[in-house]
Amino acid sequence: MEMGRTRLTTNEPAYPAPADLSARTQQPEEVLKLLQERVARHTMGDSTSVPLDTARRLLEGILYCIDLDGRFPSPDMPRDAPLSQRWQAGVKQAKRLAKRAKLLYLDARRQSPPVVNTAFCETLDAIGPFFRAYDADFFAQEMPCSFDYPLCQPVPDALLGAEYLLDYLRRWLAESVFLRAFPAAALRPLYERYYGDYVDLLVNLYLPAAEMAALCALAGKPARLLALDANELTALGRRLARADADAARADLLGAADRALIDLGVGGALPRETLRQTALELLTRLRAANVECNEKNT
Amino acid sequence: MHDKPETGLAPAMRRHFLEELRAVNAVSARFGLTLSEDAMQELAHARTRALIDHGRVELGESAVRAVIEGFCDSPFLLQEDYEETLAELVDAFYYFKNACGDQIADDELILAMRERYDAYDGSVDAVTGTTLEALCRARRLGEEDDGDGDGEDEIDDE
Repeated sequence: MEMGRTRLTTNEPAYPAPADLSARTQQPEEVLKLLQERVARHTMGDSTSVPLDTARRLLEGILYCIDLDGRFPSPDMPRDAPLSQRWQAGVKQAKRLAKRAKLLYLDARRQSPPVVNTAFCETLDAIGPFFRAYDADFFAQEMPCSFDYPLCQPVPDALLGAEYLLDYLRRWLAESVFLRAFPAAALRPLYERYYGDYVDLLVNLYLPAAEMAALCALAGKPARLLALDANELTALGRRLARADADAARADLLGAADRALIDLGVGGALPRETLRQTALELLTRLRAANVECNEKNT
Repeated sequence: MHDKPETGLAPAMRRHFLEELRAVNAVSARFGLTLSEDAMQELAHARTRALIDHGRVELGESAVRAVIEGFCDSPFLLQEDYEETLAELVDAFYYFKNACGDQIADDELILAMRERYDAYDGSVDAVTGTTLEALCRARRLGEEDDGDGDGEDEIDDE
């Protein structure tokens, strides 16, 4: 991954990754003034002091919004604008991101895959209260909900607040769109083989389907089948493990692209997610092959 | 050799705090209570210690000013132990702020502490040795304590 930039998450261009909050201490007097103002607002003038933890959270909120404004600059804001204005612009940006996240959330609720599990449903339910609890004016960096359901390609840890939720939902939708291309009857036996109790375990539903779809395409079979017999799987494993690294990579990426066409799934993020998942499968297969060879020698 | 003037945020905040104390000295002087420059420095240290000890952050105006304004007209507060009493009250104030989870406004808390202080004839121990519940209960119910210090709510039994 390119340093200092987050990976593409949608069709939008990549944007600079958030900086480490603790590293941003330029203009400490202005930051202090802002913090003073935030503390006064937060306590509604009832208290001159706040617990250390509250002060830290308020300070992180200020620094995060200033950083947000730096990464999503508003066209009418001069770069040398006072810090308070840049912070305010950052707050507005955080609110905009939260609104966009809400649209994605509504989309995610409409686009459930044919097979879901408990963590999937509970996480979707748990995200709902985020939009009421999210407080961009004071704690824009916080995420007032939990994300239990593990995504196949997780959100970068550097993302915070509404940015995190937005990215989580983009990835969630990319996975869901892919899974919706399969009939439940094809997914269930795959999950049973892969996880056993796929309903109650905290597992990702995309991974087995993505890997198997790419392998099916590699074997020249319809991706929708989601099934290969043991001999086919062994042959594919050997083929990928023994091929030259670049050739194996190109082979599998080509198969991933063919699978998407076969399934009628379009879009940059679903494509990137499947290609990334396929490459991770290749890494595992080749590592397993090396291990196997070492044992045999 | 000249001392370099202090620069940076912390000294600026400290200077601001001392200016606040000088300003409030004019108010307390009407009741025969003043803080010398040395006493102000000591109180500044005591406030910093209290904030650190109780894990609190105070920016801009300090609650110490409100504590002085809230107590300076008490007939039990004397110049001899003014500085020491203030330091103890300030420490107790930040302790109670934490104890109430910031649910009580500064002014309300200072009023409750003041009532307790006066009810016990100017005993700082009566204020610092009680619980937040007792402090607030007394204020809410307007309880008249007899000041013998044997109430159930006393922390300090010594």
